[in-house]
Amino acid sequence: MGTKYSGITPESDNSIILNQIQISSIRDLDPANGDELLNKILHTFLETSIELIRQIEEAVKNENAEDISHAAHSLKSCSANIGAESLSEIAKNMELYGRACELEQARQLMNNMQQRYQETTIEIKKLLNQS
Amino acid sequence: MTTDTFNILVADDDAIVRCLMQVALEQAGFTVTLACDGEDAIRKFDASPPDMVMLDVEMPHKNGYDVCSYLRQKTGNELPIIMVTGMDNVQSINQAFDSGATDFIPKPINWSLIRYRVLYLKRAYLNLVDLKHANARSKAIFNAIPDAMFILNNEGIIIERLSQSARSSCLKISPGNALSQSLPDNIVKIYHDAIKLARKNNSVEHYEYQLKQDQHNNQHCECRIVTIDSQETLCLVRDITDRIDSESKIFRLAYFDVLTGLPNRLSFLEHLKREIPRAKHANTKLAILFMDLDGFKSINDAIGHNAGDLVLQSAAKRLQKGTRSSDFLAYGQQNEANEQETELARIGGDEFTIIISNLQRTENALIMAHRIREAMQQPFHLDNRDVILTASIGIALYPDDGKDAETLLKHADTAMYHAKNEGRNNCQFYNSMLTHQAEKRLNLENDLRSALLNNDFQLAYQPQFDTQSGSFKSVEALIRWQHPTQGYIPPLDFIPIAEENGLIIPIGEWVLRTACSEAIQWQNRGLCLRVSVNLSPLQFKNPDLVKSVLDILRETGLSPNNLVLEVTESALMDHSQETLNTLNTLRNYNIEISLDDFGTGYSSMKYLKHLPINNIKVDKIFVDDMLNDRDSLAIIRSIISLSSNLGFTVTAEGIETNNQAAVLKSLGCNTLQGYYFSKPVSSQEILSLSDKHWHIQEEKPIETFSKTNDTPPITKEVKHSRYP
Repeated sequence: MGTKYSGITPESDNSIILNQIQISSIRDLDPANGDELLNKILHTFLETSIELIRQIEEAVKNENAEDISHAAHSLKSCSANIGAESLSEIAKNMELYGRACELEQARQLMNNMQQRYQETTIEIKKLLNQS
Repeated sequence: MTTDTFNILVADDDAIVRCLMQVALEQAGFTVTLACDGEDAIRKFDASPPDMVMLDVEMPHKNGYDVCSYLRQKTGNELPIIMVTGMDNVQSINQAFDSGATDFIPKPINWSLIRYRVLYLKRAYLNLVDLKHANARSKAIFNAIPDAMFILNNEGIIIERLSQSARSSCLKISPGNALSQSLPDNIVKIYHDAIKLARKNNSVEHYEYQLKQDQHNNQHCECRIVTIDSQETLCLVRDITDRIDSESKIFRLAYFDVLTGLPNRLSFLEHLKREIPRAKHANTKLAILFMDLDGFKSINDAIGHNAGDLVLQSAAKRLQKGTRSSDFLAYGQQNEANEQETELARIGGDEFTIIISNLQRTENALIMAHRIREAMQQPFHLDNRDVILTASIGIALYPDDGKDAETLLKHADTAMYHAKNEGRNNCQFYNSMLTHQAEKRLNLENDLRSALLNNDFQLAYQPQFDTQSGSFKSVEALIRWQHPTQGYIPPLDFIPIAEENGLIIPIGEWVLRTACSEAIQWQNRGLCLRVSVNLSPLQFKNPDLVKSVLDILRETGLSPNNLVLEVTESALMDHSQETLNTLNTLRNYNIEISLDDFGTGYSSMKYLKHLPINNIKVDKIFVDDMLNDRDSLAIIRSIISLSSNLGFTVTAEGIETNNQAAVLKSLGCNTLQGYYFSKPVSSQEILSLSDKHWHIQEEKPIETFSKTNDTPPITKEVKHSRYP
């Protein structure tokens, strides 16, 4: 398994922006209170993630590999929790680049990540507006 | 942890995870405390220790591993600590394990399943807690148990020691030791047998055994054995020495009198109840003696209870001495298989009882009673004074006076009161007739002893007519006893007593010595007669007989061929080699043997042939009937003919008429004895008879005898029993 971390996997375009199954399972955790929990989680995500994106942008700009991997790890984790699989995947790659000090690769991935983040937030806001 | 709340500390720097985890776990009924980094987690833990901790790995201010290591060190290995790790990170899983994590949950977390996962973990944890409690409880129990407890394998090796009590040194238990290292082989065998049995029956086997500790002490152990599985056995060993000691103390208190150490009333009754069926089965008698000290109560009142107690203790000692059975056997009874046994008890204040089992003669009970009575008459020496007491003793007999213990005791008590009424210092049977008879008999015994000492016996001699020479050549010696107060006592009345108490031996020797010396006196006056002396079966069996006879012959100077010893068939009836040896020895010394009372018992012709005897005496009953009973005559004819063929001479006894004498003579009988010739006379009178000749008139042919011509008998010398 160690080999998996040693190389950089090619960018994959996971088309699932927001996995509805994961959304449902969060919603189902507290069915009594409707979408309250989901909304709270999504708001938290929006607040947390925007900060993490900013930290990654700054770290890439500063070429701080360690900060890149830290922030990317957190973004990977919190996006996975709400089913933002595509964003989580990119964050994971970003984390690996950071860990491997592949700063050029990280910079190249930056646009992709920002774009995927935009798409994810749009989806989330749609959900929030629905409820 | 309380039974209804289960608090989980969740530490994660991800607010979403914290939020979702809280909701998910609270939904499952858990209480959740949240921490946003490692240090926060430790703070929260210390503030209120939770039942379970869930840690994210990557957290600012102390990562999950460090928190885990810290908590593990702090709380021991029981607290469940769950690491939440990336599924793709094997390294982190290993590191979590090394930090002491109980389990891990992989990311991303499946929020719909997480609660179940934690419920499973909780249950595993609770089981662990239960197990730990169970172990603690067991350990407490083992520690509290006063037993040694260990596990044994099938090879007899101790593989684990669960407990060893401080007290119990039943065996040295060290794991790895063989049982045989600390126990003797016979005890090890008990263990192995018990193990087999426990395995076979699936049971708890229970054994008790003793270990010798030193010269005076035994350790008593109780062991319980139960199988654990096909390989192992659990053994519990308890030291029960104290219990056994207490039991024996209780037994002593229950069955023995503290003051005298004698068995008590309960013990007496139980013993009697055991003896009754034994006596019934063996068809023997029991005697129950009931002794009461006369006037003991007033002495107790006068000089105090302490002195009274001392008297009772001394009385008990005297009783023990007086009831020893070895002192009590009459002569000739030593070899009896069923010896008399005595059991002494103190059943009340000054009341003592004695059970005599295998009572040989009623008189023996009275003898013992009198001996005790006499022993009690001796002064009791106390510190500053002597106390004189007497005892009254009652005797009840089984089965005569009662069939059960209570009745016998009651009747012995009644007899004791009877003894008190007779003036105290007295012994009485429950049946007062028996007292009279037994006293009479005992007096006779005592008188017999004095008669022997005082030379009160005399011998009478009955001449024996020799048919060939027409004169008498021999006499039969017969004992006579002139009692100083009761006058003449027939041998029938005292010989059986002498045979019972063994006096027959010294009496027999007196007869032999007297007869021999009187025969010498006759010789000195020119009259040479052979003298016949009767031997009782008891004398004949006496191993000293030959020596005694030879000593007397030497002492008196009588030639052995002038002595005839008369023995009965019954004395020879055992056909033993000893009997033949005795007869042969006597014959070798030229002493003649005459078989007395022939025809009255079981006569074995085959045996007769082998006996080294000289003469046969035909019993008087045949002579009495011979003239009017053809059968009797035929028997006499046969005996004479048989004797002649075997080379024996024949003597006929009880001749009262000329006819009898004539017929017997004509049949070839060698010697005749009876009143027709002479009654037994004194030694002096024998001399005057020496010249006398008797004429026997030829009679009519035997065939013409009729029943009517029988002459009425004159006074007879009747012999019913063997006596000298």
